[in-house]
Parts: sequence; C-alpha cells; structure tokens
Amino acid sequence: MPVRIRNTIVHTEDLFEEEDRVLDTPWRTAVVAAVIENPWYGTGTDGDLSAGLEIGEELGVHLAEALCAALGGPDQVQAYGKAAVVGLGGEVEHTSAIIHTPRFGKGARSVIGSTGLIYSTNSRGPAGAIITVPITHRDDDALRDYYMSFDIVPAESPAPDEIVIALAGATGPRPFARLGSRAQDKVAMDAEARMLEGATQ
Amino acid sequence: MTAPFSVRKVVVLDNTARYEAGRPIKGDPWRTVVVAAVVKNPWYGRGYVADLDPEVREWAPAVGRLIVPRLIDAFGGHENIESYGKAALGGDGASIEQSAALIQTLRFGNVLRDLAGGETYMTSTCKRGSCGAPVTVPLGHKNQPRWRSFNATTVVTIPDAPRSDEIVVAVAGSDAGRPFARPPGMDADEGSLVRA
Repeated sequence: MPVRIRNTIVHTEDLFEEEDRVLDTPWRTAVVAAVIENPWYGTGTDGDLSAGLEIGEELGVHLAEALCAALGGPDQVQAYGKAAVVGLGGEVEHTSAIIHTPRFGKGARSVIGSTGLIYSTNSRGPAGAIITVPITHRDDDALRDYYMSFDIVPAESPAPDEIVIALAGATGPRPFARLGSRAQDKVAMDAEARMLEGATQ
Repeated sequence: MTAPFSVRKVVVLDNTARYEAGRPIKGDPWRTVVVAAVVKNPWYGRGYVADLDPEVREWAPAVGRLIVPRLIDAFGGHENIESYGKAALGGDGASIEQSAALIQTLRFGNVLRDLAGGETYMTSTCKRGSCGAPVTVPLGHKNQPRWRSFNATTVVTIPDAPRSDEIVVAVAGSDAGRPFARPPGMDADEGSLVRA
C-alpha cells in the first residue's frame, strides 16, 4: 500500500537568546511533518493494520531526510523524537501502526546514522492541534541535557481522514542546560543519605 | 536613545502541498513559506510614545534584512516567488500602532519588495495576541494585485511567542496561486498560471 503524502511541513527555529542571554551559537531546532491520507479511514476496529510496517519505513526515511536537510546534515541531528496525530475520523491505533513499529525507527536511523530509541507521543485531534514531540539524545537516551520537546501547529491538519506524522530534532542540548546527570544525582543523594545516617547514630 | 535591535529567534514554516481538498495537484507541488522573527518591542513599558520614528528607522529595516533573505533563499531566488505578504503580532504589552510601525512603513516594505522583485502594495495583518496566537499572513501577487487567484492566507503559530514585551514580525511567499483556483472573471494570463 503506497502512502499518499498530501502535504509536507517543515518548521525550523533559530534561537539567539534565552532569558535575554545570548547563545554562543544559535540553536537550531526543527519539526518536519508529513500529512498523509489515513489508509484505514472508515475501516473499523477490525481492520488489518499490517500495511503500517511498510508505510512506517517509507515515512521514517522521508522525514529523516527532511530533518537532516532542515538541521544541516545528519551530524547536526544531535537529538530527536517523533509524534503522530490522527484526525477525528481515525483511531489512535492508526498512529501506532505507523510510528510504533521497528520499521519507522529503522528507516529514520538509517538516514541519520544514530542508534538511540526515538521517543514519541501519539494522539487524536482536530486541525490546528498542537503536536508536541518529546526529544532525547540520538545515541544515548540517559543524557538529561537533551530532554526537551518541540511543537508544531499545522493550521489545517489533520483533517478527519488524515494522519500527521512528525519527526523533530535539534543541533544540540537545551540552552544553558545545568541539571547535572543521573550519576551526579546518585553521588549527591548517597552523600546526603550517609550524612543522615551519621546524624541519627 | 533607541534600544539596540534585539531578536530572540527566527522561525521558518515551509509548507509543500501535493493535494488540495484530497485532490492531487498536477506537476509541481504548491509551496508556501513564512519566515517570522520574534523581536523585542522597542517601546515596551514606556506608555504612550508620541514619536515612533527613531525606532522605526532602526528596527524596521533591521528585521526586514533578517527575515526577507531567508524567504528568498527558501525559494531558491526571488524569481520563484509569485505572491507575498506580511504580518505583525504584538504581545499583550504592545499597542496595535507599535506592531504596525515595524511593518507598515517603506523602511520595512521596501526590503521585501526590492528583494522579492515585487511592485505592488503588500497585503498585511496587524494585531495583538498572547503566546501561541496564530500569525496570519495574507498573500497577493507581487506584480498583479488584481489576480485574485493568488489571494491566499498562510498561518504560523509559535507556542512561546509573542511574550508581553515582544512583537512577531513575519513575511510570507508562495510559488503559485491557489490550486484549482476558479474565481469568476479570471483573465487568460492569470488562468494560464493556475495549477489544476
């Protein structure tokens, strides 16, 4: 089943300042989205969703290529995430059938050259819904500095018979990230626990 | 003493349509691009400012030179842009007049006209809203203002802008008229450009 892409949307942002403090290098983020015809529109909950495998791989490649172009090449995609929103005439399961298969991620990673899981949201909504894409590091999903999310608001999608599939990314971590790491938390919390223990003895 | 030009971010929304209302567009897809800058409101917190001109002289061309080249680049040259338009959306600390000041003078408009190779008045919107309010940019043909098939509207939403002390300034362009355009009274030159 070939996927029918009605519209491609690329939302790019270059951030120069955060809280009035100028960044050394502008921070580029992008959300790329394909508006597709829902191939299962009107098929009911007994419908066979296996075509999602092939569609997922095709869209994974297509969106990753668009994301690389928006951010300036595969090496610039330092963090990423995905999202899908089905129109009001579809099932949330339709979004899962496309992005929650190994094939979507395989297609996207093959273009980007990354190894990390691609985190996601999937939901249903009207045209103009805010689509929020959760973001993690491309290779290591434990890196806290890369936890963030980006939005896209397609004014006229998804229509009831459409699905919006989005892939988002950034050229670097959050500006002025300073929340430490899991390892640092653990060291600090262990030290606090030891102090408490010492105080109660 | 005018505040130095200050911009927080630039947003580009690039839309490529291959279908209109579920019907495939033959040939090239229909592209519409909006480039928006989130700038500080140079008059924020000053109450009623009678003379807006000092800031207009500095800020209007500065924001134009920041966003217009990005619009031209998105299309690979001004010759690929058929229609254009502009918009300003002030945060809740802006007066409509302040938003208008950044886009409604020749100091801004001529940057877009000159770089886009256009001659006409530019269609625009100018309003106030909170963060995430839609920035609505009307489009009209850059040389033929009466070609109604080129009147279209494009929208970008920036969830964290404009803040109270900011103004979003946007320009937009398109490489064609509305797909399947059929306004009554369309002339032959115009009709030959409609994608069907």
